Amino acid sequence: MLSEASLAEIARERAKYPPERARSALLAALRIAQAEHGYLPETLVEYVAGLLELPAIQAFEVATFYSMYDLRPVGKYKFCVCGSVSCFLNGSDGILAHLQERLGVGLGETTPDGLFTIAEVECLGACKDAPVMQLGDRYVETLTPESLDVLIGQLRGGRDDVR
Amino acid sequence: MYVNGVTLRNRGLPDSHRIGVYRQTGGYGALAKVLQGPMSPDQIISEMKLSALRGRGGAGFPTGLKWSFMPKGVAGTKYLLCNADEGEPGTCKDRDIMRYEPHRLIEGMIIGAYAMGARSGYIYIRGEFVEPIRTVEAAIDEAYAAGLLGERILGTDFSFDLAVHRGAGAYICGEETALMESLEGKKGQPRFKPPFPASYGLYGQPTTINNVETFASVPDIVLHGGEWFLKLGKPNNGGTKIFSVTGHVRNPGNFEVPMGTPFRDLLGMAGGLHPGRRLKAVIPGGTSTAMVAGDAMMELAMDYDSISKAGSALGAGSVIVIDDSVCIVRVVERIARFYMHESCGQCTPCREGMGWLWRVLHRIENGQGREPDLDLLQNVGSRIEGRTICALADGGVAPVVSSLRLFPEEYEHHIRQGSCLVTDSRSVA
Amino acid sequence: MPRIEIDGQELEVSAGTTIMEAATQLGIYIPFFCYHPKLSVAANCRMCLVDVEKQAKPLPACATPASDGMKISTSSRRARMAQQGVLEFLLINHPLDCPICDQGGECPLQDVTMGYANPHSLYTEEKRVVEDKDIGPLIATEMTRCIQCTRCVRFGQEIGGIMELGATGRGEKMAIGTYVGRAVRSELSGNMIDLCPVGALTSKPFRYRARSWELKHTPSLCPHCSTGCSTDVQSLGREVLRVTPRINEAVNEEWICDRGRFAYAGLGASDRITRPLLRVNGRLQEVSWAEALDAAAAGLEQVLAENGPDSVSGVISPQSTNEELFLFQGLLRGLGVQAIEHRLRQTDFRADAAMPLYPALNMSLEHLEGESLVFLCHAYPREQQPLTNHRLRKSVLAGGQVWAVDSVRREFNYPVHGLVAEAGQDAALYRTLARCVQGLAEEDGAGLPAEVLEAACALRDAADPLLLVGSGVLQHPGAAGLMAAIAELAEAAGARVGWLAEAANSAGAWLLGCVPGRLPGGVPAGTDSRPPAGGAWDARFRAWILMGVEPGLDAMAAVQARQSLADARFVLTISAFLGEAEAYADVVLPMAVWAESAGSYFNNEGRLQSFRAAVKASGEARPAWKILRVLADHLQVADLAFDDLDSVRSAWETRLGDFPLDVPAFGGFPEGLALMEGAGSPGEGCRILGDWSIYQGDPLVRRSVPLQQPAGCRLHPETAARQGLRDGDMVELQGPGGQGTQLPLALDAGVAPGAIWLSLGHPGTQALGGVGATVVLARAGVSAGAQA
Repeated sequence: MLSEASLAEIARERAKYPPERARSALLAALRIAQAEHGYLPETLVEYVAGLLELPAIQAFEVATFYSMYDLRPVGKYKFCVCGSVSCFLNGSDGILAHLQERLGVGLGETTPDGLFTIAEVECLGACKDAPVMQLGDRYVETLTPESLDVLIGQLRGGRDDVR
Repeated sequence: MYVNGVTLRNRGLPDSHRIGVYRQTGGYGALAKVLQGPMSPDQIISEMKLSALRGRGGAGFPTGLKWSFMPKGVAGTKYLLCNADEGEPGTCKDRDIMRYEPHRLIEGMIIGAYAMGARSGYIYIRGEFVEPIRTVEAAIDEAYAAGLLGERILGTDFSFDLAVHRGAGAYICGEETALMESLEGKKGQPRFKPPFPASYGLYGQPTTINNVETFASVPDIVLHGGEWFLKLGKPNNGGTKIFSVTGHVRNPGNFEVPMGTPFRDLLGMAGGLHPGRRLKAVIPGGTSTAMVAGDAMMELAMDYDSISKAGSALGAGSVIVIDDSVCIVRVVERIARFYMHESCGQCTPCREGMGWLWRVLHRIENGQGREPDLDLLQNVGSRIEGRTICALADGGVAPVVSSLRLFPEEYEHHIRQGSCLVTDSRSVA
Repeated sequence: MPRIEIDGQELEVSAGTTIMEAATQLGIYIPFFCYHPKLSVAANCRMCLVDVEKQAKPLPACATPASDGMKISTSSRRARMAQQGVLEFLLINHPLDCPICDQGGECPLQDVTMGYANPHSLYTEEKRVVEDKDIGPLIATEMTRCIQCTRCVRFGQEIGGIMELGATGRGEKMAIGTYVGRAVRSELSGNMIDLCPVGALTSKPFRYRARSWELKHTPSLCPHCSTGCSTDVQSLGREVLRVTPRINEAVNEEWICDRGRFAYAGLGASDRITRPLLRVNGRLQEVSWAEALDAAAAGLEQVLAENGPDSVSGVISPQSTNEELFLFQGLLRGLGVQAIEHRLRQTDFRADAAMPLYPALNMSLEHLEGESLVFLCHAYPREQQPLTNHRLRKSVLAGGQVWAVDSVRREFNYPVHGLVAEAGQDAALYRTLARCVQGLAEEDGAGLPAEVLEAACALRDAADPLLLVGSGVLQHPGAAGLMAAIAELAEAAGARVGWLAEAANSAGAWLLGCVPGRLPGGVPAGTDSRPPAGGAWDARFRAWILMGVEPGLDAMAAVQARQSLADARFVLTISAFLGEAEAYADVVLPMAVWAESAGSYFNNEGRLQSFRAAVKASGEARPAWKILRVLADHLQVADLAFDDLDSVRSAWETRLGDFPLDVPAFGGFPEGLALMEGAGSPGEGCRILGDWSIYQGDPLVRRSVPLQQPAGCRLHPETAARQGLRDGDMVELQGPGGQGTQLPLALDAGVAPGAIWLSLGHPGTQALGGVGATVVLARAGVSAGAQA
């Protein structure tokens, strides 16, 4: 279910831990699997558990405990907007409202074209750059409605290297 | 004043995260001093004690003392962990250390490992911090390439391996035993103590864990001596400390200043309040610490003991500034949501109580408060406090209870009038 | 040794004792939910918070070690406040649907609420509702009632050995469930029902059948395997509604397996016989006891008179009580009959002389936990003796090693080193091991599989290894040779040997003379009374007395048994269920089942345990001992005129006398014993391997609907590929007599190439000829996968 590249990456993660501690690589293995498939369908969670010789339910416990795992499909771009206190004080609610209006979908929903999902998350640890959001591997900081509009335009135009 | 002089000294330099830049500015000199000086592990620990460095992750436990707890001559691997699961609302300093000064952190860990006899270490970085993760991983690679990590470091008998472990989104993993569980591939649920990590930590082995900033402070302490560091700050509150000043300030940021710096000065560094605004309240150490009224805060110095005397805590130095444009009920409701969301679910009072607090606050905020609700919040809070395995729940109660004490009129207005005393906060929504 | 004080009482405890344990020693009650003495300490429910002097916060009694000078109050204001507070949190999201909850009346949450709750809840928000899950036919779930104590999760990991339930989600969304609603499979799963402190996990077969306080509790014994677990049979009127474990640390601690817990559901099977039956004009008709007994006596007397006592064969279930076994052999021997048998699954009796006095474990169950190296010889205790297996599991968790030598790789719930014989080469494997251990094979050791050498080294290097002989040995077509080879290995390795007795009272059947050639106490029967080649089903017999058995499903030689019974002049069946007897019995006498009767068993340790009736017998069914007693009267057999069960017991106790609990595992084997090993892949077909699964092994359990699992077959992937078969295919099997059946196929690399693994005890599989016979395979129709 996973590419050679993903399996090799999981093997590298596995090697960080003592040989009898395969379970330590579970968080990483789930992350790598999700990166390849976009989300973690149940069959994939079970497959990952099998790779590390763990009971499926153990992997499922972990997959449902940590907030970065998506057990349902999400858009190509998932806007994880921080709503914790410093971002809140700097207008994160307005950012979320603007996103919902601009994309026509609500919190936790994905646009029909499969491009965007909006999510509100708790503190991203970048409070001085509030309001902030996580977009894939990067943070987008000091968000304004205008900066979001530019970003959405770029992403729609196929540019996902924008910062 | 010694500003931005220790853990963020190189922040402004180009390529400050590269080993070359770090070495040119004296980096890994402390490690050389330790290994080639040589300094004995006991000497290092006594310098650490002398420095009065206290844990920068929030709990403020004396670092030298913690290091001295690590047992000697036990079988099996001893582990050294770095807590880089920065996630307390208001805290954003470790991210900058990792982005700009990863080698300072690594050097501090190597020295710590040498002092405590740890053979293996992990830096647990929250999963959202992809950029810092990549920076730290690249720095680790550079350190291995330079013979600073791995077998026989700098040609001595001392060996230490270090790797990054990525989190996956859970504030609770910043609790040290939850972090260890998570490192073992489990849900991040804190362990009951005793046993303490020094005897039963990662994989059941003796383990010491420190915050990023704590480790990053180590090289300078070793290089210049504990005495030097202590004198940067105040007795029992040694050194400098990064304060993340966020919220309603004009130039939010990380400011590394001596312990005991007046809050007033710190606020000034952050550009002060927005024009025309009045300081309503400050949360001095991240949302798990009690709120302090703005006026009182203006008179306080930023160190563990001063803030503690004012009924709050310095925490991780996460200063959240709240002006008069926002209703305190809304702020506290938002904070309570965080703790409900981040409770691991293990202990009954936290699992059930955090949601209860939030639901009552949410009702009050939405004009459906009732007269007994304020007593209820106090009551529920008092049933949660001190009755759980870890401190998450206590942290969630602190802002609720302190705000009830400081701003009863805002709550009462919500309940009696069904509307907000700070009307213009509505415009934000 | 810390000295502490709890509620003013002083106590000295050993280091490491928790406050909870210390309080228990003093008889002081501290409320708790997540704590359980047999599980790891989670300290998550927080109900056991107590007040410890000089401590800033109340501490959980379950997790806090007592330290010297500690002064603890379990009921100070601070302790009570903490306990009350925690309880309120537990109740705010609990549905309080006690009136419709099966846990009602035996619910720790109810009980603690009585003692510790604040009468007025302050909670006015909406209550949480948790999605319910179907986790199989045994455990009913109502997850909204769950208080997240995680006892069930810890049970799976720590006792059950397979983690099936987990706590998913976090915070207030944390919920217990299986992986995507999968059914729970552990053979110990029912214990989670007992562990659950609320009504989240309850018994599905018991659901809404009665309120717990209406139930009559009768201390009883489990009638299935040789562990002999203590149970509590719970009944309402004449109906058994539930079976739960009784605490017996020496035997089952506080667990029972699902067979012991749920087999009772078979008591009400539709073919339960409640009146005597007599074959009239080819059909069985209900008759009076008098008629039936007259007909039984007449039928037997006629065969005895015309064909002689050597033409009669008596077969009794090894689940019978000592009293029944004693009377059965007494009756038959009184009639001059020598062919008395309880070994339904054995076909090779050449080494009967080498059999021990009884199949003895030769140690206590508790001591199994301390073994450092155990070799299981064709034994699968996980399904055959689940709670004995639990002891072995504990030995492994404590650092011991278990090897399983078998004709197939079994799935254990702890790490086991497996050694699988090539198809039909079972005895040869033991001999090879014996040679290796003795070092005779050093020169050609290079040619042996690494795992064989590893096994031999483990045996050679172990200080005091233990071999446990399982029922797979006796079920083997060359059982005698296999036993001899195991005896050789034991000798070579200097190992102790114990038997894992098959059924609840296999031990009693041996001790009380329900084997040919041995009288009660193992006294030789005198005449040469070795069983004929065909065993109890030999064609020389013309009449049978069957008690509690269904040879067509229970016998390894089921094909032969059915044929013989069909050809018999007379068959008397004493049974609780009609089943196949409808086809061949001339007289059927309805007997009471275990819960309706009393008696005693010897378990695998030789431990004598007795039980009494929990409910009245169904209809006109009578306890088997009474039936045997009356039959003896009718057939004028002397010395069996006992008035009550106690006098039967005194009689067998006198005959048996004192006997040693530990006995030599093997006597002498006959000279020149042929191994009778089979070819790996005989011609076109596959060699049958197989076993009765845990839920198929006796007439009662196979009638328990919630326990039933469909029959299937398993092939090594190579064998399957050769035959063009795929995983999930329906396979057509043809036995040697041309009998056929269809079974779903699963691929399993743990089955030796050339062999086929069958689940025995099903009508289809029993028609194929038994272990060692050859079947021909073909793909039947479309594969299940293709259909889906």
